[in-house]
Amino acid sequence: MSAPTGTPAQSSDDTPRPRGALVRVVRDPLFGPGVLAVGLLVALLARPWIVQQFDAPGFSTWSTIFVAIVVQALPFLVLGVVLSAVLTVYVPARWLTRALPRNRYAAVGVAGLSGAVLPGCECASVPLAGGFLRQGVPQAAALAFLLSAPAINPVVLIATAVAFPGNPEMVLARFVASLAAACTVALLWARFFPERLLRLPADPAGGGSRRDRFRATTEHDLLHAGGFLVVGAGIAATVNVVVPPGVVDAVASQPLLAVLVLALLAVIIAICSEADAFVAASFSAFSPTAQLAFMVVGPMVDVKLIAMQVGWFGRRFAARFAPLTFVVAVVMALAVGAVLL
Amino acid sequence: MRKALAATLLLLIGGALIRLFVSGEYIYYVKDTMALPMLLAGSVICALGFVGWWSATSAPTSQTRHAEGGHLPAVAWLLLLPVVAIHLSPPPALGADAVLRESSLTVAPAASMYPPLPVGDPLILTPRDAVERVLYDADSGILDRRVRIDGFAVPLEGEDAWYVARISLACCAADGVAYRIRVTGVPAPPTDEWISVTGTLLAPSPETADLPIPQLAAETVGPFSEPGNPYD
Repeated sequence: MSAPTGTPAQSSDDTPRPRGALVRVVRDPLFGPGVLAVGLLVALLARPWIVQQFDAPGFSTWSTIFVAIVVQALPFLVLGVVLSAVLTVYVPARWLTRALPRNRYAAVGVAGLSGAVLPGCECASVPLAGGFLRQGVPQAAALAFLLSAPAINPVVLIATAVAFPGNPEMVLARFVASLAAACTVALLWARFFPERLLRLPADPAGGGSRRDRFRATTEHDLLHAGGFLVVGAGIAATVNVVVPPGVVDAVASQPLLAVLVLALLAVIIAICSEADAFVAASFSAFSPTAQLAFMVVGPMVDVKLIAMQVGWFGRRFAARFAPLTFVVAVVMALAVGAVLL
Repeated sequence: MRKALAATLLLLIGGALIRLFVSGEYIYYVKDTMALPMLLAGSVICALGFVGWWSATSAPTSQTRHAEGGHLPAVAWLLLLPVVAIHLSPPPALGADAVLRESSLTVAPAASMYPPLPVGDPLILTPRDAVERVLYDADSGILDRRVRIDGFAVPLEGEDAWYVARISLACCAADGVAYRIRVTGVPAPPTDEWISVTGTLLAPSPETADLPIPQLAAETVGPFSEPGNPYD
């Protein structure tokens, strides 16, 4: 699950250019995209034929879900990218760093809690965390924000309260478990993993006026993160259509297995954190702790997020960060569930 | 050239969102509360695209900016997939196929107390009302009333029975939940046809104990015009 596709995270063409005409065409930065674009167009024009070849209704369901995930996520992505570009371009460097407490633990705590301010889902938090990092915010703090923001903001908590009527412990449990997991992962990461694993995409706007830089940054970030969002949406839609009905329900009665299965399900179906409470509530055959695990894991690790993290922070980062987050999130859900639910 | 391509891509993406808003087809994918954020995001993306075009054509040569020339990420081209799909032929709302792919329905009641059943004969219910009343509010007398349920038809392969169903979204089509009632007594309409079926509700049959799907002993079935928002 860690590296969903073979798409290169970054195509660096800073190597000296060879001179032969054919080589120049192939090395041209437009060559790959050009081939891809032509391929896609052919695929789309041949859609009637493709639909006939495959199970047609299934394909139609797939494309509806695929388009839905992209359409649902894009507004949040735009919000995150624009905020991130504002940070990168208009906020003086080091300003945020100075606003954070010096002590690492306090900084992580503050960053984790401030996730509560960003009203949106996980698609906004990845670019925004990237913006923090470009600003020189310590990795641990930026990662705590990255994980907590989609889980503990008011919109998500209200949705949780609505989805679990008369059950306010669930809202509290979600808040506590998510915040604890976010801060724990951030601290573990800072303690045990070298900083260089996280590789930020270069700030695309080298020089020029602020307005130019703002334009170049938003354009690059939007296209980059958007592309990875599409990869994640494709995987999630496929899982939605392919996983046979009833598979999940079969394990509902086995306490530990149920928690693990719902947590894994959260990873592969990748629904928006604003909606996941309703889906969690619909698993009424499962224990509240399993439902909690679904809601704690989903906003922090899912295929869509992993794809976007590969794009933003590099494959080597995502390959370690996602499993670590998954384990910590499940443990926190179990612990908090045991106490509160 | 690269800048112009990036700008074109942005215009296509923003245009797709605006198009969905204008045509109203967004309702196939997301809740109507997303309409405004979607329009806003589409406008921002389009504005970026226009500014990008302007700066691509007005910059004398791209020599001075060549350093940023190689940065259009290859993965960005994948955005063409959903965007061109939206422009060429937007996928339809979820229907019968999605219902059959859903796992068995075990949705907790939305409210712990239901209001008394309204008057009327037949009592008009959505599939969701019918499912919730039968499973969680059977004491209301729902099983003794003649009811009419409106939804789309889901024929079942190799069976005389079929489902009348409707899908309910929490956020977007990826989290759709199907509410369905198993209909017997009248022949199945064509797949995905919107119909209105009248009859008497029965508790789920013990044979399908793991699938708590209420049943309807139907008397008549008639056409029903597709609602503006196909989701419940």
